[in-house]
Amino acid sequence: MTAVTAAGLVEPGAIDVRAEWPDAPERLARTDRVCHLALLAAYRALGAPAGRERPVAVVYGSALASLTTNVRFYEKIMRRGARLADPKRFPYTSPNAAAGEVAIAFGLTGPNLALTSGFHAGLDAVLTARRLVASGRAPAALAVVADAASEESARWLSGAGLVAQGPAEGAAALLLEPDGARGALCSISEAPFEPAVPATGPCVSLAPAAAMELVRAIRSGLKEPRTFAARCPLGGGEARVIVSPARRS
Amino acid sequence: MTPGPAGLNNAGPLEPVGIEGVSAISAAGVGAAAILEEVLAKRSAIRESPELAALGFKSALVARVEAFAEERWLSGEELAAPRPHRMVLCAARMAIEDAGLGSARGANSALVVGTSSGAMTELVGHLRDPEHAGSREASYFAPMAFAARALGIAGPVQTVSSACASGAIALCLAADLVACGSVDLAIAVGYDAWCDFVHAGFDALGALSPRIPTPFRADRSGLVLGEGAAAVVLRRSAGRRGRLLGAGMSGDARHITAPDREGAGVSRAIRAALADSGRTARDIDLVSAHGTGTVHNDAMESRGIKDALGERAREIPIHTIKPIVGHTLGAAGLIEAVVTLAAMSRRVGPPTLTSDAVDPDCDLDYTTGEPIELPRARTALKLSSGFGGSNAALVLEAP
Repeated sequence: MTAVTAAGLVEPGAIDVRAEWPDAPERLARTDRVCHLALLAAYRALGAPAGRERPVAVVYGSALASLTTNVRFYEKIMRRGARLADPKRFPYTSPNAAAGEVAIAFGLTGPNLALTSGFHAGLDAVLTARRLVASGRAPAALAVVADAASEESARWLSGAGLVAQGPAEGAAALLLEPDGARGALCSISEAPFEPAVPATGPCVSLAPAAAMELVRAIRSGLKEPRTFAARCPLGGGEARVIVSPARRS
Repeated sequence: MTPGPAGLNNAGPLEPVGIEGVSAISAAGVGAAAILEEVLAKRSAIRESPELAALGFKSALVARVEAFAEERWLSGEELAAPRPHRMVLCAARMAIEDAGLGSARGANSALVVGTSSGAMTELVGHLRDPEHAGSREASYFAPMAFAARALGIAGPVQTVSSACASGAIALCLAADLVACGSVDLAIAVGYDAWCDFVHAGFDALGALSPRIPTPFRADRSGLVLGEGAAAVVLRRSAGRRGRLLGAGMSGDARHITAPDREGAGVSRAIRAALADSGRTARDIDLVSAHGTGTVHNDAMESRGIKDALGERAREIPIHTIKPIVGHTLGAAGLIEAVVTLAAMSRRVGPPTLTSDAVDPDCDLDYTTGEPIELPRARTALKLSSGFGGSNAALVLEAP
């Protein structure tokens, strides 16, 4: 078991990171929407940065990650010519940009990784963060899950013959610490892997959907263990997390 | 990794994991032994591309993988798949065969794939031609999904997209799945197919060298992009090709593209890997550096190695193979790890193809001359770093 000691949630809709977080890094203006979502979820989980480095891991999960920025970057190249690529935008074509930005903003120097495993990448990130803590690779790990809505992502889903269900975008962040940590909101464990039945339908939930549901469940007060599952009809991947009420000491 | 309790939800350090099979595909050849020959002979596979020169890039150099016998590894239908998909599947099947296994099918097998760009080559094709069939395949996870289906992997599947550290991190996560008992077998793959928009981005950042890179030297002027794939098959075993004794990861938390100038993130990753493996700096016989040839990477990496290994850093031969195979991004960590294992099994320290222009900021032994004999070499350190400040260190043991 691993304890969840903080959680943050960003529901779909207009977001204004600066309004909520006046001291947000100046570099915010350079980052893209999926980074904004991830940073805001992290801020809502952790609060204002402590101003010192902490060896906390960051595990970012996203289905589409920087796809929108990739499309815009490349379309600009096609218009302006390959030699005139924008060096300020290029870093945000990297799918781990949000993981890097969260680490920079909050001074988190533990393992830093991004998972783009498919539409189950959200719970995949939570499970991987849990494993990092359980194996001692990090004293704590922040799982940050985000996907951004855009014309480009809608076009991609449509072109892939997929129909998005659930939130069109959103983000969730969960801080995981060893079992017994103070202030635990709940405990998380890993359900034995069960291969998913191959999907035949076109419906997909974006990566944050299951993690957002998990955060809502924590906030509403868990009375008994619940299993959260997410799967990717394209990749066959699946992630299952068992969430239990925090132990009373 | 010191012995610890196995089990899905158990806590504690993990055991070493055996490397049963390996594969590598690069511009310098297919197979770890073939690539090692080119490294030992200091023959670079980097070439000038007339196509890139015509586009006016500052650097038109690239290390592309030439055609190889894909049909030996792929069916007719699979041969029609996008290039990144084929690279992942070929590398995985080569490693499975090298492990002496007929298949990796089943729910007790996992596939962990590391990549920087995924199938963004397909996205580019789709944008150029909306009728391009590849839209559904233009994602970070599509090549992993394609390979998992073809291999019959019914266990966990993951895609790690941590830029140039992706391959090394994929190996670490795959090993953890085996070590904690989630699966009996895991395949870790690192790959990246060269893509013109990635080339354009690195060109815009001024990170590309107009000549073959000269890592760790005063005249270094950047990296040259390559492409390729590598895979390892992992089990709880003695390891026919070696063992992963431990791994460490860290984040710089400094800058989105530039590495921490002091190398603190690299140092933390090395220290974590040594602690995880139960080894000390004295046990390390060889270092395979990230060694991109950029001004800041090589200086910070040298500082990080010195900080973590202390005086021992000056005694250990260090090398980088990027002047031979190019910077293969998400494949780099794994290609370089399997070439390191091949070098250790031959008890040789590979040389670094570079210049003679000594840089006081890079004052370690980068093996700039001929290959060196290492008759007692057993343990190597493999380092990787990437955009976003992600670092990984692997402690590898020779078979």
